[in-house]
Order: sequence, then C-alpha cells, then structure tokens
Amino acid sequence: MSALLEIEGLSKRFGGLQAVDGVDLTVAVGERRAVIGPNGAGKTTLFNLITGYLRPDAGRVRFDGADVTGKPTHRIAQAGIGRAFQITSIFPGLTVFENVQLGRLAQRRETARPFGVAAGRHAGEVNDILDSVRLAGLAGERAGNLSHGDQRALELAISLALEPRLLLLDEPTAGMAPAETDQAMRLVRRIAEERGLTLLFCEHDMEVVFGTADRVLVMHEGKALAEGVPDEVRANPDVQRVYLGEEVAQRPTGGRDPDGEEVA
Amino acid sequence: MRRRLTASTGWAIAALVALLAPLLLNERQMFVLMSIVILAVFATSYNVLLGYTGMVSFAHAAYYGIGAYAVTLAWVHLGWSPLAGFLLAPVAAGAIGYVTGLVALRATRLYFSLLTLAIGQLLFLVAFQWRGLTRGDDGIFGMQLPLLLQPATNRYYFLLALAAIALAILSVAMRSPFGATLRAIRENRDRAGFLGIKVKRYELAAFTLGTAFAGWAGGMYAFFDRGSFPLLLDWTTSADPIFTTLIGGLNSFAGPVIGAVVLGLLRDFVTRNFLYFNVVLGTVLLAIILFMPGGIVEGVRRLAAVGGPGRRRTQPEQPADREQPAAAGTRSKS
Amino acid sequence: MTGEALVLQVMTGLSRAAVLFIVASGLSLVFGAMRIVNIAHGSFYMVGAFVAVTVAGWLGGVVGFVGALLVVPLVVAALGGLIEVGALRRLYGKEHLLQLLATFAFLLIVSDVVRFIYGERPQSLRAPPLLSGATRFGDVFFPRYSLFLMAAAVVIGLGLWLLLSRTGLGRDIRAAVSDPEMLGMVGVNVSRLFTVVFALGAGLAGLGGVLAGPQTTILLGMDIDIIVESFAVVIIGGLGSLVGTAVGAVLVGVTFALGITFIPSAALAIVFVVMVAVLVWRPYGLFGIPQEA
Repeated sequence: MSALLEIEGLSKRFGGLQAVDGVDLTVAVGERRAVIGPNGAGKTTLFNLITGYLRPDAGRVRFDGADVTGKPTHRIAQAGIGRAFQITSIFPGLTVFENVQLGRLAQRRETARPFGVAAGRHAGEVNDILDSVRLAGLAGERAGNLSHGDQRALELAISLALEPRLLLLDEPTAGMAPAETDQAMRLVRRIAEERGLTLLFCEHDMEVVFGTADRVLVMHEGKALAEGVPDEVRANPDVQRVYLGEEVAQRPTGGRDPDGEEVA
Repeated sequence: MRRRLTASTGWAIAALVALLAPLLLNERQMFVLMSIVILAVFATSYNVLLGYTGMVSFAHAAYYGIGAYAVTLAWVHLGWSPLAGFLLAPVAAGAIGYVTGLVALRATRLYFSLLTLAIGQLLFLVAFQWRGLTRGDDGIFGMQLPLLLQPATNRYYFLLALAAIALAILSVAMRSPFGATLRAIRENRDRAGFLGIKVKRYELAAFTLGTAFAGWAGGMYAFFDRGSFPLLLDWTTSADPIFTTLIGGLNSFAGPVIGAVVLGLLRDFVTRNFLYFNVVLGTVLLAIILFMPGGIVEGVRRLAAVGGPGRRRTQPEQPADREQPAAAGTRSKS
Repeated sequence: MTGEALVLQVMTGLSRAAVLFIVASGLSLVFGAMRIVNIAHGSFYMVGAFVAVTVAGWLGGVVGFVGALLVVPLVVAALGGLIEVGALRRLYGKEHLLQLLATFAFLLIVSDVVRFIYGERPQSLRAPPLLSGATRFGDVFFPRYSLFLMAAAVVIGLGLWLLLSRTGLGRDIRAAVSDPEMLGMVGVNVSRLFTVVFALGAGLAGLGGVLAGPQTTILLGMDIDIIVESFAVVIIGGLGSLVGTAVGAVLVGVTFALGITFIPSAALAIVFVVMVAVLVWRPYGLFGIPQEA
C-alpha cells in the first residue's frame, strides 16, 4: 500500500513547552489510524500542524506525495485533508441541507459566484452525503435545532462534502454516551469504507481505538512513544506504564467482538 | 416551494401597488412614497452587511451621502447632467467603500463596528468642513433636473425604476452561491474559514457591494431632494437603515423593504400630527427589540405557523446563537 | 503663537479631557462589565446637564451648583437603573446588536422627553464665584474652573480605582470584565451587579453633564456630540480599561484643543484620524485586552 500521509520530524514549541517533538508518522491509503496519549501529549497540536492551523517549527508534512508543510488551512483542505471538529462546529441558522451544500460549493470553488440560484444546487450529491450520515430526513430543518448527536453527524457531513481522501477526527466520541459512541463509530467506519477514506483520529476511549484502528500511534510528552497494530501497542510495557495504567495492563489482550466491543 | 410562491405573489402585489399609487396620491404623498422607495434601497443595501454577512457598520450613511454628493458635485463642478452623475454614485461610493472597508476589516465584530464609526465620521467631516468642494454645512441645493423628471409623478417612476434595478441585482446576488456563502460566514466565521473560504475577502466584497448600493440610494436621494447636505453622511443617518431593517426583519430579503414602508408611513403620519417623532420611533423600536426581535417578517411567519396548517417549528427561534463559541481547533487542547 | 497661549490651549484641552474622562469611564465600565455598547450614555450626560439647571434654579446661588453636583448624579443613576431593570435586563444573552439598538431607542426617547420638558432653547449653568475667574501661577493665568475640573477628574479617577481594587463590588466588576460567563458560577448575583454597574455608569455620565454645564451651552444634541467623543476616548484607550480611558481622554481633549488652534476646520477630523490610526495599529486600543465581543 502506498503512503497517503507522510510526516517527518514534525516539531512545535509553545514558549517553554515542546508540544510536538520530532514526530514521524506514515499513514497508508485506506488505513484507519488512531493517535492516543494522555492529556497534553500533543495530539491536537499534531492535528493542527497537519491541517495548517499551526505552522511547524521543524519537520515536513507530505500528502499524496506533495509537500503541504505550513500551507494555509484552506489549501490543505482543498488538497484533500478534511477535518471534523472536537467541538461541534456547524452553521446553526442554516438548514441541514444548506450546511452540507456549503461544503460542496467550497469544494467546487463556486462560493464567489454572484449569479445563479444557490437553492437546490448540487442537490444530488448533498442528499447522497446526508443519506450516508442518516440525516436525509432532516434536510430542511434548521441545523441549530438538531440534537447534539445529529449535529456531530452534520459536522461530519460538512467535512465529507469537501471530498477529502484523508479525514482527521479529533475525539469523534467526546462527550457521548456509550450507546451513542458505538453508533457514531459504526457510522465513521461505514463512511470510511463507502467513500474509500483514510482515517486519522485521536481518541480517549480505548474501546473506540482498539475497535476501529488498524494501527495506533501512542504519543507522550510530544514524542512518539510507540507505534504498531493495537495488540502490539497494548503489549508494549512503556505504553502500559505511561498511558494505559496498571488496570488495563493486567487485562488479557484480545477478546473483542467484531464491532469493537471490548469484552470486559 | 410554498414560501417562494407567496413571496413572488407578495412582490407582484407590491409592484402593482407601487405602479398604480400615483393615480390616487397627491403631490405631498408622492414625496413620501419617493422617500420610502429610496429608504428601501438604502436599507436593503445595508442588509447585505447586517442580515447576510453579520457585519454591523455605523458608516453606511457616509456612502449614501457620497452617492448623493457624487451627483451634485459632478453637476456643480463638472457641469454633468444629473443622469450622468448618477452613474458615478455607486462607483464613487463603492470605491471609497472598498478602500475604507479594507481598513475597517482589519478588526472584527465590535471593533470593526467602532472602526466604521470613526471612518464614517471622518467622511462626514470631510463633507462638513471642505467648503471649497462641498459648500460645507450649507449643502448643495437647487440642482436642475432634466425637464422630463421635474413633475413629481415622473420623478417617482424614475426612482421606482432605479429601485427595481437595485433590488433585482441585490436579490440575484443574495440568492446566488455568493449570498449563501455570506450567510454561512454570518453563522460561523471560523467554520467557513476551514472550508477554504477566505472570509475577509468575502466580507470586503459584501461591504463593497453594500456601500456601492448605498451610493446608488444616495444618488436617488439627490434626484429626490435636488441636492445634498453633510448630515446625509452622519452616523445618526446610519441609524435609518438599521432601524428599517430591524423593523422589517433582517433574516429575509423583503424585510428592509417592508420596514421602509412601515417606517416611511409612520414618520409621515407622526410628524404631521405630533411634534415628537423620536419618542414614537424609540418606543416602536424598543417594542420590536423586546417582543419581536425577528421584525415584522418573522412575526408574520410565526403567526402563520400558529394559524396555518402543516407548518411546523420544532423550537422557537433562538436569536442568541450568533455568538458561537470560537470554533474548535482554534483552541489547542493538547 | 505665544507660549502662554499654547499653555492655555493645553489647559482648555485638559479641562475637556477631565469631563471626557468622567463620562467615558462610565461608558467603559458598562462595556467592560456588561459587554453593552451604551449609546444612551450620551442621554445620561445631557439629562445630567439639564436637570442640573433645574436643581440649581431651585436652590439658587452657590448652594444651587453644589446641590446639583450632589443630587443630579443620583437622579441620573436612578434613571439608568430603571432602564436596566425595565428593558436591558431582558436582552442579556441575546445578540449584542439588539442591546445596542435598545440603548439607541432610549437615546431617541430621552431626547424627545428633554425637548418636551425644556424646549429647544439653550440653557446655561453658572459656576459659583469661587470657581470663576483665573488664578495666577508665575506669568500665566489659569482659569479656575478648568483647574477644578481637572481636580474633579483626578478625584473621580482615584475613587474609581479604589472602588475597583479595594471593594467587594470592585472585585465582582473586575471578575465580570475578565470573564462574564464565570460570574454566575462563582456565586455573584449577576443581575444586581449589572443594575449597580449600569446605574454607576449613568451616574458618572450625569456628573459629567453637571461639571461640563458651566463650560458649555446646554442644548439638545449634546447627547450625540458627547457620545461620539466618548467613543473616541474609550476606543483609543481600550474598552474596559480605566487607565486607557484616562490616556484616551487626554489625547482626545488636547488633540482637539490644539487642532482648533492650528487647523480649526479639521480639529475633529484629526481626532478621528487618531482613532482610526490607533485601531488599525492596535485593534483593541492602547490599553485594551483582546477579547471576543
């Protein structure tokens, strides 16, 4: 498999804090990669560096062979790196349809067009995306009126409208109840399969990580501590020490059902 | 679909009334109508900023005044016919709007508003103090109109045609993908930015478009009053389109037009019968702010939703959520 | 121009700055703690000046001016409190624009009420003899009333500083300035705090109106004039900062006074050029704290 995202020696310092410290990471096409680590490990900073929200002090980010290091956010978005946000970020006063349509207009670079009717434009593609996130029935609803879970799905739909090849998810299940979490991750996995997306996500919930990721990168104090398939990572004594803690370390590895439910 | 149908019926009725009105009205009433038509364009141009893009500018009157002065100054200093001068109005206002917008948009939100206040007053003071150019406080009056436009009825139809052109252009622009993008910026600037939309550039485009059509409305005013004076540029004049938009409703294209009709008629009625217009206007505004913050359009929609069948609202409007917390990603967590 | 005339011009500027500081500090306080851009602040200033004329008329003589100085700020503060409780309170948490427009509505209403009561005729307020005339320092005669205004501004400034730094109310206000959302969570009675702050701001504007009375013509429209100048002051200084307001007031007052001397037609324009320049250079004003508002 060829590499879609290649990161070499990426570093970022905030004042006295080395938030990201020489991280290397390669994500192959079609891979589902998780980034884990305790709070303050540098996960969100790493995402901000990849998406161009922050400029790295050192290192390179290559996407599909092209160097995108330090490019502005919208360039990176247009190159095919999408991002769904940790905090729900939608357009509350617009309808659900309009929310997704806007992503579509942005992807087609039609947002500056001062003529032609916007209403109903790209309806086919927009409805298709709404279908896949199960929001088709709410297309005409004001986005701000949706439930929290639906808003998260909408947020994802807006990101999908940009037709990313790599989708970054920042704690996709933060603040969700267990049942919601399961549902949300099924949705993410299904969409990734349907649309041939490569996933890079950071997450606190270990069940989510081990149930979804093909490979896991563990970060600690800005550095890459360990890397590998979930079972390798789980067996790694360093990881157990800094992150998983004694309780998890004593548990037997494996024993997951096909949907990622950990059998406790 | 149904809303679009009722909207186009509404516009058709409005156009019919506007076209037939001169048959019934006396000359004074014709002038009231002209002022309403001008205010409708002025307020709609402002709604490009306020309602669509979410920018609160206190300088809008400055560009309105520039439009009026473009006509009168071209007449006084260059000997241009007012008709030729009118073409200058939106160009001059839009050009100055672009340059000053570039400065004002260095800031956002409240600080943007305050910068527009300073810039607007600066433009007002230029008109007020540069006597050599503008005759200062005396204003420029008595502009000779083409013979055809001298009767009130003809002038009214002329202004009505200009208003129709302006509203048509703005309506196309606001229904376009560009207009949709502006609304998205209003709803969530940061998210729009992450979609690859260069927010500042769109805000500047909206500001320029709005100011150009404020100039267009100002040019219309020069025909109406056959002159111009500095107070047209003052920030208190900027309150006119703000109030008009608020009364009509800032979440629809028709809101400012409806607001102009209501405010124009109210002003005419009150000033003829009662010395104190401000107290009436202030009370009306306060009532709308407190009890009907969506303006007349939203109020009517809500009434229709209560009375009419099949219309469903899951929740009352939430006017507060313009103030989204800074979008995610702007807060670096790790 | 002689040095003496220049000194006098600066004095004129500083005495204007003194009034501007007192008025604008109220505006800045209300914005800082409540995030409300209060256009009606100009009305409080105008009402202060007009009511001072009435009170001084009733009491007469020296007692009249002193009485006005004591009573009027309280009257205006009460008016402010009434407006806050009656209307503004219902708008917290809604769009800032609605709050701003509500204060604009009050500006309109108050201006007509004042017009109804006092008519269009200009009014005047006389300073007591003790504060009239001039005092000589070296070779220069300083107008006593200007010195009085400056002293008043210093006293008010110190008083506000003490209030903000040494009292429980001040602590709550500072907490509101730095993070309004947190207030309710730490157990502050937010609605009472806001009423008090708004009344205090109104009272400062009213006091400014009384103090400015003897130096200006008391006239309809002074509400609009002062609000534009006060905005210039707080914008230059930085909204919500007391020190910034003082610096902004001096800058605006002196710039204007010197502008009048050298290029009379462009004096006010220079103030706005300064304002634009400051905002472009430092978008939050000289002493302002960057914040989402």
